[in-house]
Amino acid sequence: MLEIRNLSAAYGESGAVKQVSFSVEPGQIVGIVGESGSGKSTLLKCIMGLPDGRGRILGGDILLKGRSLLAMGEAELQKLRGKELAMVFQNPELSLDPLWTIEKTFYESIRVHSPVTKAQARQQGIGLLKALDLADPEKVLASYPFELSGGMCQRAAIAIAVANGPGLLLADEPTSALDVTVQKQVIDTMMSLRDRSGTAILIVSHNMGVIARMADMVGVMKDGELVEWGRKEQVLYEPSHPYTKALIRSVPRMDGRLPGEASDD
Amino acid sequence: MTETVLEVKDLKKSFRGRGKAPERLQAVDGVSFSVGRGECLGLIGESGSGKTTTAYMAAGLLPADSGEVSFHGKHLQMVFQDPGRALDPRRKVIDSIGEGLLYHRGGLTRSQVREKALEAMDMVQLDRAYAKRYGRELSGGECQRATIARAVMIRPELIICDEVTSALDVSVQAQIVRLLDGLKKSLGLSYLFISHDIALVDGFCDRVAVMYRGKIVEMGETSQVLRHPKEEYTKILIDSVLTL
Repeated sequence: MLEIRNLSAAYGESGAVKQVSFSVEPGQIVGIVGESGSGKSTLLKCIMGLPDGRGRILGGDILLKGRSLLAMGEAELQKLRGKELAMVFQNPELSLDPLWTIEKTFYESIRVHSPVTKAQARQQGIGLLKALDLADPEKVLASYPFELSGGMCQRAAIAIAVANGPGLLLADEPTSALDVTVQKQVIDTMMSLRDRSGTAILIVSHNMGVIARMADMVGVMKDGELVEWGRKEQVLYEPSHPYTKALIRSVPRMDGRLPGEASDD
Repeated sequence: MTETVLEVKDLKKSFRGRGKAPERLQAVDGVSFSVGRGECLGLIGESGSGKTTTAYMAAGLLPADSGEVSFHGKHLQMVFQDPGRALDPRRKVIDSIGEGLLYHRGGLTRSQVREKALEAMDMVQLDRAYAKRYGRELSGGECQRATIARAVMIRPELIICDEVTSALDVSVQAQIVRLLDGLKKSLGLSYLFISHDIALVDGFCDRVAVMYRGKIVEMGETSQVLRHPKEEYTKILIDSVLTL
């Protein structure tokens, strides 16, 4: 589905992503973990073709279904975004237009890629929200983003992102702004999306618990490099890189002990 | 029962709601608890449950509508979530750390205060080389160490920590909570530790109180509350915790 080959990107002089390679298979959930400044969000922005400010790609390639995204022009990319490749962000209230109802956002997102009437878009919206187990889809569609709770808004944003049935969904810290009970609902929404439609998901998070629950494959980033990559069971429970080991020791476990205790006691 | 440091009885606080004919929003609705000497009480709950409002009232930073706060000690300190904002970016770190003692110094000279500030930096494992740097030059974790140093400077009996690890990376978070635990043992400190990170509270706090819609719905020994919760809400909350 997606293949990243030796990708390097930088802001000004300093390298933000260094020689990163990995791939996402169809229907697979890939989790990238790392701390602030590790380059994980920059990686997603590169894939989406949205490097901000002084960011630029230095080398390597990004292939979506075998086609290079870096070789495409902006017009071609725009056709792809939303249709084959979609993204959800950390803060849904900021990524949705506050002056548009969810229904209008649905309609506009579908209309960009295929001819559709408002009534059809509405039906599609209701169907999607139902499929993702959101209570009262009609009411959600009639709401403005600020009228929805954070969790509801994020789940609506996910539904909008997949309105055109993209094969790959990119998710940048999708649960980090949410309370734990809501976080779980959003994760369940993403996982049922994968199970129903076979959408591959590339999720970036600093929350190891989220990745442990969702991902099939896990990559660990540090200072722009992918220091470890493998199946979830191997990376999270039998890590080989010292950084991954230290990172995993720092995660509080609900075992009545202080995090990091196992390391030096 | 050990000596009580902080006792809070039936605290209430409401805020004005939004809109033309706003309803009062009952942020804290009859909260009572006590913190013993050398004890860490965790206050957990989701956004809007009233944790921070409770903390502010306990610290005396916000007047309560009704209820009582009794503090049986000389000094109480507070450490906040965002260390970048709690530490003056344009001041030298050592001056920020020493400031509290300058007001409470009781005859100490400026150089004695500086010496004590350096000792506090040692205590929080912040390299003395940082003393002459400015607040803005510190990373999040270093800033938080500095604010903790500032808090322990005047030897408080109680420190109220409001989400002190929430803005930090997981490895830094582990260091900070271990630091707080060490200070608790070496200085006999008590904490009111507010956090939404239940797994972290589990490792750090002796007792825990669960807040929901302005009320404490369950309170007790941490292992008891988190392993054998009685209340439905506590069960839902614990069930949602994701860890490895």
